[in-house]
Amino acid sequence: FSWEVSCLRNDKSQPTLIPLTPQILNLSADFSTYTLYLKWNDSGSVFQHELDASWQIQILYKETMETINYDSKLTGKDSILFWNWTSDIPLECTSYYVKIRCYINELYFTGRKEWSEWSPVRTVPEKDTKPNSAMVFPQDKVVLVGSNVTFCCLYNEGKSVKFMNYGSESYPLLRLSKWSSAIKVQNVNASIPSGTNILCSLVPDDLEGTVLFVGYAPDTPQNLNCETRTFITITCSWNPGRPTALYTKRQTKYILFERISREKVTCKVDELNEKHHCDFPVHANQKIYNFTLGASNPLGQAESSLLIDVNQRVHLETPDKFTVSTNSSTNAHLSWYIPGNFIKIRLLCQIEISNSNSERQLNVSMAGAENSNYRARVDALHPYGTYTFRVRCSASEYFWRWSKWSEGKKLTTLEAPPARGPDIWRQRSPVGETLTVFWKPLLLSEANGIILSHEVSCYLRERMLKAYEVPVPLNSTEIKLGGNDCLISVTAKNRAGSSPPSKITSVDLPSDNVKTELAIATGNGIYISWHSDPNVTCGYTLKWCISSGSEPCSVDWEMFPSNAIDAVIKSALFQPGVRYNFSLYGCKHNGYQLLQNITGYMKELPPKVAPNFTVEETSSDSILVKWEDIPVEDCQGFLKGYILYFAKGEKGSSKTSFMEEGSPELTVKNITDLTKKSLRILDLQGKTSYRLDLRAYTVGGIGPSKDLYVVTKENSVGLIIAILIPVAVAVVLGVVTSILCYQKREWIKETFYPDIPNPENSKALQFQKNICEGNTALKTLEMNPCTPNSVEVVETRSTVLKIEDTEIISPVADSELPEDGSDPGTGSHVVVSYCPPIIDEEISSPPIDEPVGSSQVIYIDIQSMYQPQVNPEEEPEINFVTTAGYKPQMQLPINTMKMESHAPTEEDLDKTAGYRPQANTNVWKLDSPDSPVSIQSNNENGSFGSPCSINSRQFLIPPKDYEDSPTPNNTGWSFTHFFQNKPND
Amino acid sequence: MASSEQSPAPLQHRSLCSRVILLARKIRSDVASLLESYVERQGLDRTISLDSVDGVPAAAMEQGGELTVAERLDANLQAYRAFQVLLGEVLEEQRSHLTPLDTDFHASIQSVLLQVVALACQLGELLALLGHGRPAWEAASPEDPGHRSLFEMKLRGLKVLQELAHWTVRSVRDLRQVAKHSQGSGAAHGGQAQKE
Repeated sequence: FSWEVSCLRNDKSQPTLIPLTPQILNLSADFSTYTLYLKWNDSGSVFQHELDASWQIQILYKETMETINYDSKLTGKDSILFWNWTSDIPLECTSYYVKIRCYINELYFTGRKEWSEWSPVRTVPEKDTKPNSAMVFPQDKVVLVGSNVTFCCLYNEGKSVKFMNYGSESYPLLRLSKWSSAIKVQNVNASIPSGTNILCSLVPDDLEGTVLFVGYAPDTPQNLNCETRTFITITCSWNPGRPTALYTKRQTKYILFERISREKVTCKVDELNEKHHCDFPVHANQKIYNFTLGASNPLGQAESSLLIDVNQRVHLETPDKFTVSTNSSTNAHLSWYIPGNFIKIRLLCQIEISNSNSERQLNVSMAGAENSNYRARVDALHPYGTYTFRVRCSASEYFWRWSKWSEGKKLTTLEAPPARGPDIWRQRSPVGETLTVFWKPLLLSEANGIILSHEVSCYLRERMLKAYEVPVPLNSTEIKLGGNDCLISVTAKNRAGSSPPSKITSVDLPSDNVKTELAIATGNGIYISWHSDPNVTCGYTLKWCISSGSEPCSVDWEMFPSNAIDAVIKSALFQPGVRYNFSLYGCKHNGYQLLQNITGYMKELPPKVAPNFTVEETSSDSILVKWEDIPVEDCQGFLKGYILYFAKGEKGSSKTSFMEEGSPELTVKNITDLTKKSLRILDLQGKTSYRLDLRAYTVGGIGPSKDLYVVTKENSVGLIIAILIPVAVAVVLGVVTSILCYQKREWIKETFYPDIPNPENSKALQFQKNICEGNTALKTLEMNPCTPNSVEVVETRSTVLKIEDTEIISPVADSELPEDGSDPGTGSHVVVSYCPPIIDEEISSPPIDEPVGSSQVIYIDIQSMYQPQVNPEEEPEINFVTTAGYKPQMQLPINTMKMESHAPTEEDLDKTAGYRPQANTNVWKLDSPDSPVSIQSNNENGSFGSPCSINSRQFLIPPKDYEDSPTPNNTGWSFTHFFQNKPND
Repeated sequence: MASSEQSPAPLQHRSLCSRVILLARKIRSDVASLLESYVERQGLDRTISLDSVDGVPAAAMEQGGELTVAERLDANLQAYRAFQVLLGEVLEEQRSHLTPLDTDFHASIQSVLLQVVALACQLGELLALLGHGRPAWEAASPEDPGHRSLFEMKLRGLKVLQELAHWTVRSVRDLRQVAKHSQGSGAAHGGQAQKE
């Protein structure tokens, strides 16, 4: 039975090569990776030589079929061939059927070549066929963020899928088989720690599901660092990088692999800790370590490497059990423990020694030991000093890192005798019987302990006369000299002993002509200088006394060498603006001598108060101001002068200072002569209020101000002149006017009071009459047919004076007497006579729409006061109510209109009762045919006192009776018209 | 004096019943908030069907009216003992598989678990006080969670908490009945089983 025999068949025409049907040796499935593994025998031994073989593999799933081609070479012997294939859906979701066939490509075979028969079908485990219970696949799978995942739901026969959810979102179902449906989710996001749920809801009621974990492959471990702390283990630490979003079994696992020793350690990391650690054992004879840290999770792996020399990566543990002790005043013993085996290296330890005002480090190198205590001694400490010690260590040869500082330990060294004697001074009482000895307390650094007392002794030629033990805190004592001078010695004592003595003589040398100098304020001290004295051999002493409140002042001093000529004295007790007095003593071979007194300020300030000043004397152009000195304690500096500001100003007008006001008339006087206590201000204005402001100033600034207001006295001569000049001018003007009036009296009379002509003597009338006879058109003054009518003017107003058109002013109306004897005092009842005009129809016949203008007779005095003022639209009611007097005809149509529009009641009509035209204007025109008609009237014909028709410009000459009217209606008009009339009127 | 000698047992019943009721209410309140955080952390919906989850004692009473006091208390006790085990499993599953870093959440489950243990103890005391003796602890060994999928763990945990909440309601009702009964029976031995 061979391939050749079985494969070659002799067809009728030509032979055909048909390979034998291949047999699948094995078909297995990896469900986690959705992969099928196929294994079969190529039966190559059938052929004696090499042949090309092709294989076709068919996979049937999801009711579809996939065919894959696979090529191989037959090598003349049997070979097992492998092939794998990965599905895009979980293998559990449906059944997979696999079969294979073969094709031999024998080049030398000339006959027909055909594929073999398909092998028997092999099937992967049939999970979807009649499952025991519903299930969702894949189960608890881990995928990369962004993957596309297919989930299938398997269920029993008779059930169906209602929906499938990924998380909370429902997806469209893909039917795989009659027991299986699927959903495909694209580009999945990172899941929550407990995973994303996939739900499969079945009908009838059932629920199945699975969980998908979506995350990232591990990041490359970052900042990998390996070091040893004990030489027992090497600790590697790193940052994990980007979180994988995978936890528990799915979290990243780390393996530390050392290439030289080929040893690996699985690292247990705390996921909650941001920095991960892993320990690797130190090998006895290995210095170099080549570490590779591998990180892996179900989605991938990453690694990071590091090569180290362990001797150069020593990071010691924190020194433990740290103790300090001392048995002297200047040194201390330290001890600490470091775990680990450091026999092969030297250690470098740093000791930090700190006290309240200093800090220093001391490096100590020492041989390493195994789990040992290390010791060190610290010298040059200060007696009775309190120090804090702490220590840290590292490898000495190859410094890598310091350990952490140990805890701090405090230590106080023992006491020692004071390093020096105290600074001393003495002061004789005024009488000289007693001597007060002062000393300054020693600094802590000099006292070397707690000063218990001071011993003060008095020596005369090296023989101690007296000795006093003065306990602290006293810093002075009084010695009775008893007429003898002595050498004073002072020593400070503590528990460890006494200081060297400080000595000073009690002898005071007499001094003559001691001057007081001024010191210079430096802001933080007082600069004092003096002249060098060649007799001073043992230095200068500057003494001062600072008083605080009611307590006696405390003496202080400072000593300077003999060559010193100046000094800046500083003291925490000095205050700005306070005056201090200093005494400079020179130390001579036989005693101390007062050389100089000095006064000064640490910092000069502006005066605290304003100088008290008054005005002593005032005249019309000057003021004398006087002021008092400012008390020394208020000066706050050396007074440099006064500044006087003055300007005009009323009291209470302004509270602001001159500076703020910026007054343009401000005058400033700077008084630098401190002996001057008064000042006269000149060139002032009389009877004027001045504001004065006086301030004192020092180098520190200008002090506060004090105001005074002064009024200068009146200038009487000027006032007299001011009165006399206008009076004289008025008198001269009066005299000149009188003379002129006298000389021009004729002209004045003619101008202002011309003689009134008698109309009866006027020839002009005769002339006119003749003209009238000849020409009927000129009926200007046709006296005979004129029958005077009377118009009773009920009310007139003074507003007649407002009329500006002097050509149409008729003063007559105002001068008429009341006809009926009514109250003339009111001036509102005037009777005017007139001649009704005889209007020629040809001339005066007006258009129908102008009845008033053409026919009415206008009494100008009366009308003119109404016409400009009538504004029916603005004051209709006023017109109704208040115009109770005369109503001119011209106004009638307006009033009529108003009355119609307002429909006034009868009472309203009564209120407006007054003059009413006797007939309408048309009637006037018809009823007065005989009235004189004036066609061309002329002002030359005008006559005062005659009402005039506007149409005719004809004066209506009153009857004779009225000319003699003794009481003019309005006496005020004549003066007004005196100025308004033109001379030719 | 006589009355004072007779009264301690009913008084103790009532006092113990009150304490059990108070504790059940407290557990119910805690479980309610725990349920909120549970569904949030597991990505679940509270309305999800949990019918497929078994092994959790159901609080629904099929024959509630026919139970004696002792039966009632015994049912409660058995249920809380079961919950003690179940909650332990839920806690371990959360720690090991689902929410390893969420220590606060684990503490909340632990707190409820301890209260359930306390409630079971008190129920045991009450049963003993009523003369029934404490039923034997049928320590059902916890199921091996290895065969359980993570999704099943999540559903099971939810079911445990939901049923525990239901049980606390039932316990309050049952304990009121027990208290009422002990009040009614006066000095009579509460240990006598009586049909309600």
